[in-house]
Parts: sequence; C-alpha cells; structure tokens
Amino acid sequence: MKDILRGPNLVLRSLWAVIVMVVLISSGNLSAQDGEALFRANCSSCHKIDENMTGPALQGATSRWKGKEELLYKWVKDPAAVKEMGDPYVTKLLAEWESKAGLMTAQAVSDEEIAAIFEYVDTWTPPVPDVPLAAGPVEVAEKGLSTTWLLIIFFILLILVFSLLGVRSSLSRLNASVAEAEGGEHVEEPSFNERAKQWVWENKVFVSITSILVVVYLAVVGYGALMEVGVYQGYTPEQPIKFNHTLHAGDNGIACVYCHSSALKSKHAGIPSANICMNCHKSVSKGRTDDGTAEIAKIYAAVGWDKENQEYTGEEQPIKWVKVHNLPDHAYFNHQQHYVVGQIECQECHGEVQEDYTVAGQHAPLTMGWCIDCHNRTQVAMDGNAYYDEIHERLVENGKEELKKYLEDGSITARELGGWECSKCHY
Amino acid sequence: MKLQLNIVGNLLAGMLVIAALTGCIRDEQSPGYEYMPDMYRSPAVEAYVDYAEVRDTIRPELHTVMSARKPVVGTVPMTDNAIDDMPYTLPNTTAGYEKAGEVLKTPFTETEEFIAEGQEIYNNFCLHCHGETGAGDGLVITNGGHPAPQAYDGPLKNLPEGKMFHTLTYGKGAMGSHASQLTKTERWKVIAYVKTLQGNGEPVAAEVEETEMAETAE
Repeated sequence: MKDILRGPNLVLRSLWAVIVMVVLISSGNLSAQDGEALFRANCSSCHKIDENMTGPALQGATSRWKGKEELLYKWVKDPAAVKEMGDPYVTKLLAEWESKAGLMTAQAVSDEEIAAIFEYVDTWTPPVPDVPLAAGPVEVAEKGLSTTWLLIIFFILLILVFSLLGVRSSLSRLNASVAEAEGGEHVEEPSFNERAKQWVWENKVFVSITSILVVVYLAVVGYGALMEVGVYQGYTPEQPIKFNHTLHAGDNGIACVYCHSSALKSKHAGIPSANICMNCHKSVSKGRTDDGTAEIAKIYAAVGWDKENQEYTGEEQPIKWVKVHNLPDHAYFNHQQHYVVGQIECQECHGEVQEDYTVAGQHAPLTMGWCIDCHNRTQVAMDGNAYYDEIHERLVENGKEELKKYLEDGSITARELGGWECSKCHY
Repeated sequence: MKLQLNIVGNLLAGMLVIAALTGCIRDEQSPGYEYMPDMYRSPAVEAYVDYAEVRDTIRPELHTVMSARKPVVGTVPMTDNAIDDMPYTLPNTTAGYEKAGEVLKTPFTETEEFIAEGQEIYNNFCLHCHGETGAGDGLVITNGGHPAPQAYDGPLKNLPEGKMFHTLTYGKGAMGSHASQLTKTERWKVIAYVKTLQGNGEPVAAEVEETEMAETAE
C-alpha cells in the first residue's frame, strides 16, 4: 500500500518542486528585466532614479517608507486615496512636493510590477561614463596675433632701428674725425635724401616695378575694404551661452521653428526666450561634457531655477545675446512671408546651421544684390499653396494672355510677381 | 639738428603705421563699419535693438538693458480669432487639471484638414520628444537623454482632450508650458492630431456641422 502510494507521491513532489522553481525563476525574471521597462513606461516621465525631478528620486523610496510598504504600494496605485488617510509621512511629503508638481497620477500597475520597479531602482548604479566624446568643446584657436603683441613687436623693432642708426652715425662721425685728425680733406657726407635718390636712380627698374605692384595691391585691398563697409557676412560674435545648434537641431532633431517659433507668425525669427530652453532643460541638467553642464547652468542662473529643490527662485537675470543679423533701417524683411508663404527653408539663407555652426553666425551677405539675385531665380512655390490662389485666378481671368507671358520660360519667379519692385522692400 | 628732425619724422611715420595696423584689426564682437549709420539706427524702436543707440537719442544708461518686454499684466490680445483672445480661466492646480478633463472640450470641428494642420504643428513642436507615433521615443529622448514621456497609445490612451489643453497651456511634470509658442487654436489643432495617436479609432468629422461652419463662414 505504502509502496504504491509512494510512487505517485514522489512524482507529485517533484512536479511541485519544478513548479515552484519555474515560478521563482519567472518572478526573478520579472524583477530583473521588466523592472527597467516598467520604470521607463510608467515612472521615468516624472521620476529620476538618483535625482529629484518632477517627483522625488525613487532610489531609497522603499527605505524611506520602511514599515509602510503596504501604504507605499497603495500610494503608487491610488495617491488620492492615500492622501485622504492622512499618514504623517505622506502629509510631510505632500507639503514638500504637491505645490510644485501636483498630486501624483494614479498608475495602472500590479503589486508584482511595483516590486519589480523598486527592485530595479534600488539595485541601479550610475553607468560608468564612456570615453569622453570627441565632440567636446571646440578650442577657439588664437586668430593671428593680437593687437598688443603686434604693438610690442613693433616697438622692439623701432628701438632696434634707432640704436642701429645711432651706432651708424657715431661710427661715421668717428671716421670723419679720424680722417680730419690724420689731416685728410674733410669730405662732406652725402645726406640721407641724396643717398636715397641716388639709390633709386641706380635701381630704376626694380623701384618702378615694386611701386606699381604696391599701388595695385593697395587699390585692390582698398576696394575690398570699401565693399565690405556695411556687409557683415561671417560675423560670428561670442555669445553669452555657447548654445550648440549642431547638437540641438542636428543630432536631437528639434525643428528650427520649435525655438524660433515667431518665424511662423512675425517678421522676426526671434531669439528664443529662456522658458523654451527650460521646456527640456528642466529635466536635462547634465551636458555631454562638463562644459556643456556649465552652459546649462547659465540658463538656470538666468531664469532663477533651483535645481536641487526643483523650483523657481524668482531671481532672474536676462541673457545678453548679441544680435547677429542687422538689416539697414530702410530695408524690410519678413520671416513669416519667406518661411510660411514662400516655403523657403531656413538653411537657404542661414546655411546648414544643424551641421556647421555652434551658436550663430551670418551666413549670407544680406546685401541688396543678394536679395535681388534670389528673387530673380527662385520659382514661386505655387503648388497647393493657398496664398497664391488669388493670383492664379486673376492670371487665368485675364484671358490667359498674362499667364502665357509669365510662362514663356516655363516658370514664375518671385521677380515676375513683383519681387523686384522697389516698394516691396523699401517703403 | 638734422638728426633730431629725422627722429621726429620717423616717430610720425611709426605712429601712422601703428594707426594703420590697429585700424585694420577687427573686433570680433562688432559687426563692422556702417556706411550710413543713420540707416542702421531707426528713430522708431524695432525689436532686438539696443535702446542706448536709438537714433537721435543716445542714452548710455540703457546700454545692454533687456530689450524684449513683457506685455502689461492683464493685456488682452486682439486678433480676429475670438478663441485665441479669450483668457484661459482654469487655475494651474491639480483641481484645475481634473476640472479641465471634465468640462473642457474642443470648440472646433475636427475635419481631416484640421487634423492635417495639427500634424504639421505636431511635427514642429512635439515630434522631437513624443516621437512619430507618440510612443515617447523622439530623438530628444533617445539621443538627448531627456526622460521619456508616457505613450499616447499606452498610459495616456484615455487622456481627455481638456487635460491635454491644460497641459499644453501650463505644462505638467517634465513638460513645460507651450503657451508662448502655440495659440489656443493651434493647441486644439495639435490635440486633434494627438487624439488620432491614442489609437481609439479615428475621430469622425461630423459632416452636418462642417457644412454649417462653412455657411456661417460665408
């Protein structure tokens, strides 16, 4: 009897052991792998692991709630209900956080999932930073010699010339006195001017060629300098914050008009106000390099953001950006008209900002010739562009004669629609 | 005596050379020479000008003073769109957020065209964080290290449009206010598109209302 029973019992027992093991292993898996995924899906939009963000840092939450684990789990699933219960720790926590971030949103997670999240969070260690990225801060190379150095070198040379001249004159005086003492005839030393004239006369060809070259060179340089008056192409002043367009608009794919949103609505593309920086940098406080972190800290100083307590202090300090693009007073330019209506890409005038520039530089010359040239060759983007419906209708109404005139070369350019009229830009 | 004259002449020549050398060295912080400065300095104040150098009134005490000004508190915008002009009255609190979810509804009929305009706004203003499908996997998240927003077709599947509007207006959690970038009409447009990303079926545009709208517009 016993023997008979023992058989199935053994099978049952081993089966049970296998089930227990499977459950243990699978629950272990839930903790190890899904904790991270669950954290990302449900918590990470408000909580960081090791730093306060919208909500407090999650690492150590289980020890902070020690003895109230059940309450903590309940809190995650229904914060409003736990708030009602009036637990002293919860009240203290809410006093600190609710005014800044509001009450936490109830999360649709099971107890097992909460356990997995806390296990992931508590065992998390900061990743070892990679080898510093090559895209570090670009060292600004010393451009040529500075004015001070040039002056110093010039003065040293000047002193050298004078001392040599002094040596020369005292030597010649010595020579003369020696000659006089020896009773020789006193020879009148030719003056500097006479000697110079003599030298020029002896080297006529060399002197004339050199002077022609010098005159031509000066004329070319002078003409270039005059043509540069009022043209600020390449102007790249140093800005108070070393904002990186390549990183933001290139690598992170942020649209130009996200920050320069007034290009959609006004004449100016606008220097973004610091609240737009804070849309992301409230949560991104570390740069890729220490220099990047320092630049982000400048935004915090400007808007008065207390990173530790995650709140605004009210001490603001405007950022002193340097204006780059300056149009003469009597020329009118409108960003909205070109970007929204004309559908001209930003890069057409500002260059491949997402690849080339760090902060801001003037890519285009912004001369009248440059404007006119573009108006002459740019075809008007009429396809499906409601802004041109009216013009299109009128062209068709006029017996298509006018349309034919425009379409002689198969295209309608901005010039043909009045882009060369003086009063389009000057009024 | 002659030697002294030479020294004076040399010194003068040297000074000329110095002047020429320093005159050609460009200050990186200055744009350069202006041909007719009065054409660059308008007597009428323009955006982003240095108030110290407005033409005919040089006031050094205003040098590098903030030129962008905030509108006076209580300023009401005057556009041709009443929806944009009306103030948003719900407070920036948890209670205001919940209330927005209950009572706030879009004043627009969500036609296909309206949603398409919303998508254009989404691509410019939301895509880099929320991602193409709204899963919270934009480049700012995956590449820029910003914490991920929750997925529209996930934890936010049943987020009501009123709460979205409240969040766009005031910001919530890690997301900042986008009121300075988007008008109220634009906010409703982008919300219309975001609703299609929640995966609860395409919102159907009511044809009757659409024709009514067209009639009133005429």
